[in-house]
Amino acid sequence: MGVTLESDTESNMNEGQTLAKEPLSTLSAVPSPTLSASSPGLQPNTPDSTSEQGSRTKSVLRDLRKVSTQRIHRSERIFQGTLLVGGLFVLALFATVLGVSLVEAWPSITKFGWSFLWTSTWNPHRHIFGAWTYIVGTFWVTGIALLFAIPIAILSSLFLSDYSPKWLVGAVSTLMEMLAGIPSIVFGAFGIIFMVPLLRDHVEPFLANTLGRHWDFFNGDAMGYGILAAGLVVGIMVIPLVATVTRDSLVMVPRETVEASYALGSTKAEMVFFVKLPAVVPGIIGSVILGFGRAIGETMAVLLLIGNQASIPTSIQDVGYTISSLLANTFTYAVIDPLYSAAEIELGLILLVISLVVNTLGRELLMKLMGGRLAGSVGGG
Amino acid sequence: MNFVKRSFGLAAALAVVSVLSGVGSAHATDLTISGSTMLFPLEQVWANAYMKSHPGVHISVASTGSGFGISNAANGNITIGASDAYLTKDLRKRYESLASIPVAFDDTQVIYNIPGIGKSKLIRMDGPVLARIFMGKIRFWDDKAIRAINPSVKFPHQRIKVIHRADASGTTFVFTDYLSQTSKEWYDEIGRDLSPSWPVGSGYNGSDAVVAAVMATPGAIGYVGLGWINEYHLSSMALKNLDGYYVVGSVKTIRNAGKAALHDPTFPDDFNRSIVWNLHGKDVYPDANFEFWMVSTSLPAATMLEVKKMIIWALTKGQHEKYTVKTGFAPLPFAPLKPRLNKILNRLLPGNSLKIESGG
Repeated sequence: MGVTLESDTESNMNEGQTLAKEPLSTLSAVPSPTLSASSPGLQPNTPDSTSEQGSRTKSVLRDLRKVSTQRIHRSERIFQGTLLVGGLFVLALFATVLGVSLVEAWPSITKFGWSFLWTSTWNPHRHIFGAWTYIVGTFWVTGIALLFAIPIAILSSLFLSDYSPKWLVGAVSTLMEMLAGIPSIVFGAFGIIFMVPLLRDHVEPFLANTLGRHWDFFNGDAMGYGILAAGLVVGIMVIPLVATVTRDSLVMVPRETVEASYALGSTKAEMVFFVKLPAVVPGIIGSVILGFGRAIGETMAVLLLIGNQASIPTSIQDVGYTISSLLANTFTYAVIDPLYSAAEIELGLILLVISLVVNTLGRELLMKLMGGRLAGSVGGG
Repeated sequence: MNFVKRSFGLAAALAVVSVLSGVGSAHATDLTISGSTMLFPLEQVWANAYMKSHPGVHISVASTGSGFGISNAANGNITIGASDAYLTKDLRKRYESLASIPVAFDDTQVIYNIPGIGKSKLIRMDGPVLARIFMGKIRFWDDKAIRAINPSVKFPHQRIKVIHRADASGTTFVFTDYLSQTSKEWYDEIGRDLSPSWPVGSGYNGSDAVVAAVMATPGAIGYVGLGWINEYHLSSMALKNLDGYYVVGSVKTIRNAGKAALHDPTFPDDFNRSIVWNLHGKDVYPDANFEFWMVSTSLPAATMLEVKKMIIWALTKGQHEKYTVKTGFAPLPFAPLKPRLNKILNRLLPGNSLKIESGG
């Protein structure tokens, strides 16, 4: 009883301060007995011990309840209203983006229908538009990025959570967070001055001379620019996302579990690999979904590195084109022609749908794996 | 007393009016120029110089792309839209109100990075071979088609790496214009466009990136405008012109192309024809281009008057080398421009040709 009363009084006081129009007299008249009643530790006689005092306190309490619930109602309503506006705004924003995009993309949607998805010709000159080349390019870059980022991120987070000396943990995790905050154009520039020459002069000739002898997939022109450069640089941008979330989940693995596995006689490596790692699989999946969201929409770094050529890559050394970099490169020009801009907006919609689908599937998967425990923290990607 | 009061009131009213009109005249004219990224550097120096000599005029310049310039000039969002390309038939139909005014020359030149071939060696190139290179049909530098037009150059057996613009670009328009006019294959399969669908190669955003990629990639071939050739001291290929001469792009040879067009009586009065290829002369570069300002005839008369002043200034004083050549353009000659310009200005402001207000 005393506890609820105290909190009521407190919120009442706060209301009195924020809603200055309300007379303060009721407040000042009431609190003294309630305050003393609410701190039973200070007074030897609690309100319940003497019946007369108790009944008086009860009636005061009732009055106070009435006043405070009324006030809470009003302030609550204001607060709820504010929240509602915020919530509806987000809803309206999403609906507007989707609606405007649909309307603007409509000429292309009606003209090309579903075949837009698997047509690989994109010829503004002849008014033929198809998304296939760009969808494939987008998945190439995203795939390379994730293939590169996930192992490195998992290894680094395992190292940080279980093997690294304490002083290194702070330094590395701070650096990770900083890495996640660097604008993508910086990574793009880094890619041009570092990754492109490295790939052109060393990695790509090496690939062609080793794996390329058996598989054409690794052969190519050794340009430096291309899906490999773009994928690797986007991968670098994804690493901190995956690593941070994975490390956070590793830290949350219950101590009892770890100790139990030691008690059963496992070595540290066995514990990490067979106990900790399986326990954080949902966390890893969640972080990979986040990383996917980042990689699929990445524009500037990709645009600088991918070679922007609308052809379907057949080799790791090929150039390509992603949806986002095509939009960045040509959208200001496409506005000149309604069908052209409609086709580009439809590409944007495809990107939107892909990330929505991946996010939803990821959430469902997590729900299954975790029974809903972690799913809420992941959907935002 | 009454009189004093009244005159005081009058004076106060006058003061208010004069202050208001003073404020008004300070911002009497706001001109917005937006569009072509290529023309942007020239427009900036023009705007600064013009605002200095014409207090009361405020010009804001933005670089947004030719497509934006054309469509927004047509719907009146901006005063002047800058474009690298003239209005093709389609665009003239869509944007009937637009008049295009040429304001400077530039061009597209072909740059290369062939291992073992120095800067001083002149490489010659004609349209059909260039088109086949950019279509991926000629794949090595020592291809016999290239050797045939360069008998004195020893080419290495090196893969050709085609480098083009990824963003929509007037430079690309002028380049593909040359290919379209000289190669039937190119005309049939790809055509002329600010952002064509390139069959091979790799694309880069902006001319600087094209220069960087060509310089860094052995075997590369690419194209940029005059400004970049000068800025980076690049050597470019000599392109074959209509009369069979191989000409390297320069301020002089580009101007020759422009003059040949202006003196050609069949050249359309609205300037909506390419000056690529179809011009005769020995020193005429075959891949030159007018840069345009697009103005909508539906602008209000007061604004139009200011626009006209600005246009005439740009075409006279604005053509000085300190503006044009310094930012990578070749100056337009005013005299041969005049008859056609008169007609355009008459269309913009009926009955208000050059004679009424000379360039100042």
